[in-house]
Amino acid sequence: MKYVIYPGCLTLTEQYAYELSTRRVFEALGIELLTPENISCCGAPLRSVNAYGWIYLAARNMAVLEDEEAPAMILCNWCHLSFTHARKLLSEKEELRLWVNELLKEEDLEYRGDLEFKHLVEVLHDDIGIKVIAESVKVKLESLTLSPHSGCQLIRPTELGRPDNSVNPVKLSNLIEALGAKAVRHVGELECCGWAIYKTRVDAGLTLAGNRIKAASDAKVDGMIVVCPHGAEMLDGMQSEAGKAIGSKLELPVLYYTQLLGLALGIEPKELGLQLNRSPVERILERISINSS
Amino acid sequence: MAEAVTVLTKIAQLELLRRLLKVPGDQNPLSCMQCGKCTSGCTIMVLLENYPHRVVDRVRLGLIEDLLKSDVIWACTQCLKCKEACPQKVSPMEVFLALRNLAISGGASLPESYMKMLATAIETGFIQEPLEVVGRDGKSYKREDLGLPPISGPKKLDVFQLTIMKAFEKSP
Repeated sequence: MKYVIYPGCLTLTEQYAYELSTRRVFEALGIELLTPENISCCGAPLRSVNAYGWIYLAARNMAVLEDEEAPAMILCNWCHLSFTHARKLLSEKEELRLWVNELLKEEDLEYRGDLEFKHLVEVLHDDIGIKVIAESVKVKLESLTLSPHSGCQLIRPTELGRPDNSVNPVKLSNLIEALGAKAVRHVGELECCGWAIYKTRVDAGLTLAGNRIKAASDAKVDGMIVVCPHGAEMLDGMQSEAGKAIGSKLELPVLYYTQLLGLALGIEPKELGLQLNRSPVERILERISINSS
Repeated sequence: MAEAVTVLTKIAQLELLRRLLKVPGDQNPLSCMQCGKCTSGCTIMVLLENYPHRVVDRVRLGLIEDLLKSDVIWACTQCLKCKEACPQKVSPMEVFLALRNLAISGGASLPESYMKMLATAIETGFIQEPLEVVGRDGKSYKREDLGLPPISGPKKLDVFQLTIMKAFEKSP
């Protein structure tokens, strides 16, 4: 089993802990990750500027990844939706496909439309499987209760086919419980982290992030688990600003699932980039008796 | 004379609607039956008083010109709940995004954050330059400090830059 890792802009340029912990955890599980060359932005954040630009960038990356020798594993929810939706539109509209390929020729690329790609959650849950993950656990996380944050594009829109169910997503919860921890399903679990609106309305973005964290705090969990760099940037990175926006003091550890999995596999916190989280993740380490220094 | 102006205005408005329908996506505003399910579940509605079904209504009637000047088209967080809720396969979120495209191709200025992402994407292939991030331990980290491999962006960067600019110049 091997995959080509496609982290996406935000992980490559800022959310280093996600890529670091993913690489470390896959190494521990004995699954090879290939690093592709010639990649770029998936186009999703620029769809607001020009949908043709989005389609071109999505097709460009799919064309690059089609030439690799293994399926692509995408770390970001938005990149995954971008590829999924662009592929649908490209298969429906020949004119669009011809236009894309005419441009791609200039970079010696060709979009065929046969890339196999999966979100990290699908790789862990569907390919590797809960059983193998549970059997790999060295440090059982039995004392922890956690709020799963699947994130918008992992579960919506159903029409385009998403990695998990839009009303009752279970994969991230199953993955959390495979480590011995308890996944707490609660009101507000499926709400938006606010990343996109933050780009034009800072206060609204922070309010959404604050509301999402508060919903988890109110459910009395020990932390939140994310599988998208957008969710991490807002819920972990902006947590104190988000708290100010909603008038609450928020102090809730937010971790990537790959960081949590790494801890359960007995990997050192530093090798999982836990020093980069902005939220108080020491509390999680204390709960499972791991020294963070 | 007044009638002629009215007719011309209507034609211009329909031209905008025709272009909006052509923007790559599944916006599908003409199927809207104004049930309001999108608005009732809208993440942003309670915060910024954005009513997606009203925007879709104006669009399907061809009343697009005023919307292109309004900030309301930038008040969407792209959570996709509206598309999920619609019984008619309308995607209000994509209507918003298509309106943004039309506004920009008509000369409206891009919000600063988008301008920055676009410029950096053209320059480097990615929406932002690699940042030096500060950890809770007070130390700052670059990719290489963490043992992460260098980012392998577009190989022929000059060709990529010209091509991506062409792609972003295309208008519906």
